[in-house]
Amino acid sequence: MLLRVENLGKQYAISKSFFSNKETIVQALDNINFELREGTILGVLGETGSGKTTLAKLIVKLLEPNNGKIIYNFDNFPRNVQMVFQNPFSSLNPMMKIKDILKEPFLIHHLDNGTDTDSKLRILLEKVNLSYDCLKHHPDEFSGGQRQRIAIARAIAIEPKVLVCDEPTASLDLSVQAQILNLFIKLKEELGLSYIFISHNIEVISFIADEVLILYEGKPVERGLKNKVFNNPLHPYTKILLSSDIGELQKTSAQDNYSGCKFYTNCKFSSDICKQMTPEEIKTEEGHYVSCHILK
Amino acid sequence: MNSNILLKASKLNTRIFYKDSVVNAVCDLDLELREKEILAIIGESGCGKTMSMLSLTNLLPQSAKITEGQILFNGKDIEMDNEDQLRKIRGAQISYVFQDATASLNPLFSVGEQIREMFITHEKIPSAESKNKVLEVLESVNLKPAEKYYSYYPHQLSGGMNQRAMIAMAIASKPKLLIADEPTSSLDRITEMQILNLLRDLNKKMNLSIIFITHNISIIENFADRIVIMYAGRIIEKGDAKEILRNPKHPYTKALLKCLPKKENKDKFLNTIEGNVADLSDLPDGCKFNPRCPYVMDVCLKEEPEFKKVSEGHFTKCYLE
Repeated sequence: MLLRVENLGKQYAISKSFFSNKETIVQALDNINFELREGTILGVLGETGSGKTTLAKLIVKLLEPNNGKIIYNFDNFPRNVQMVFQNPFSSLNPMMKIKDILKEPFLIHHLDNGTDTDSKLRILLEKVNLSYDCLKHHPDEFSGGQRQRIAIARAIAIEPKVLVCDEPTASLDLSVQAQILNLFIKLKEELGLSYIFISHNIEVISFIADEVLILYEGKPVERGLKNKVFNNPLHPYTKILLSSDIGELQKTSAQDNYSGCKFYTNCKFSSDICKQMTPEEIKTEEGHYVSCHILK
Repeated sequence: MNSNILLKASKLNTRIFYKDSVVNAVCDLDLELREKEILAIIGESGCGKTMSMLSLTNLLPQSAKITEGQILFNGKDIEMDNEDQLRKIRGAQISYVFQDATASLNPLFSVGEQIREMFITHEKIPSAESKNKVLEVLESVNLKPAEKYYSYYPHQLSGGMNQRAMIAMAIASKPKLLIADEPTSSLDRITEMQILNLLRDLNKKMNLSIIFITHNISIIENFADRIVIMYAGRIIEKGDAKEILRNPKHPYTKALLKCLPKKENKDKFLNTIEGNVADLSDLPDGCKFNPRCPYVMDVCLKEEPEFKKVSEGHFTKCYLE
């Protein structure tokens, strides 16, 4: 076990308007539990506003949690957890050459002794299938797929244990997406990496992940081993997500605060208890957890 | 058959003029759209999908120009230099929905006011009556209660709702043809399905023809009637949607379909297309796909293939048998 998340919660305070100082509290993430095992890929699936990115930021400590904790089962925190962002057009500094971009992790973590950096960069570029020449160019000379390779090279430069990928293929074309997904799998096997792979694309998650965590409005809906969850979805939301017919599903906003299950208004099976109480996570079988009242 | 063809573009060529070079963004495009039909145009970025659709009503950026070709819409010729005629067609008969709705709407006016502009400019309806008309269209795109959404500003709405507002604006003056340019690619899956359902409803209720541009093959299976696949500014395969998805003929179409991650797929690695998307300023001779094609033959390097009939209504540009 590399990383364990226990009862993790995060709230944001947003002011109603520019002129008022009244604040509403939005529970962006609530009661998240999971474990990341070594050499596996955890896919986090959810819609816009379901708290996926908040989760990523909490794991790399860009945000502090309000509740719960994240236990890292290794030393050297920042070095061992690196991040790949969605948009490679904004995550690479346009003023820097690729050489400087890739050298920066070594400088920040004081791993640069000045002698073998060049050979390190050469190996790094080989790993992500880029040619050595690209070092002297700027990011704007590359296509989206090549830039994402550079961003991945930067993330794996100092040999982290965990890579947090926030929608890394969402802005790429289909053929390029396939290349990048293959690259992620190749790197996982070569370097023994573990990923937290965030996406709203079910097909991508079902291809790449070993375990999945499905979020709805900041709450865990269903999680567990991919095959168990995808072959036998139990939560009404997961069922809808996995079928192509969504019917009349309307999304509620995270600010419509009530204490019950967030999926209550859209659920065919909802009863009074769903409105009053947030369901607790129950274990239905080994490696399969669901948060729903109707399964009790 | 000829009677119900709504739009016919023949030999359409659009070039982009840079300081020291000229790029052929759309090359010899032949397109036919029947009434009430949903046509999907598929291709990767930079393959000319958007450029060819903008060419239809000459909405091109200044550096681009239509150099050749003819467009027949509803039996009439669209004259590319006749700005008056074009203004009457754009928005009123052919309307557009773009990818990023939040960026396409004006942040300083409420959604309702922006839709009302459509009635005032295109239908010359006095402003007192136009508000009711706006409420009607807002209802038809499921923004209910319409009264509430009328006064909302774009920043108060989510991406999916903004896209609904854009669609409301596009269908306000009851156009014959809606061109939707990647309307769902910035939306998540459930919102995407909702927008697709909405478009299909409008297609049935209003007899609206739709041209749907996307780079995502997976969503159109149950949505489009016909598919056109573009590569490097050219159509390389076209035909009935189900037929193409089941029986793709061009190596590019086949490869693109295999790139899709699928739930049933048990392989460790996905199939990919080697190399990069074609660079329009540096195209090879012969078939433009030849540097990436696994079945390349001598003839592919020399001469560009012509359309070949595969079956009824299914055509491809490839020398392979």
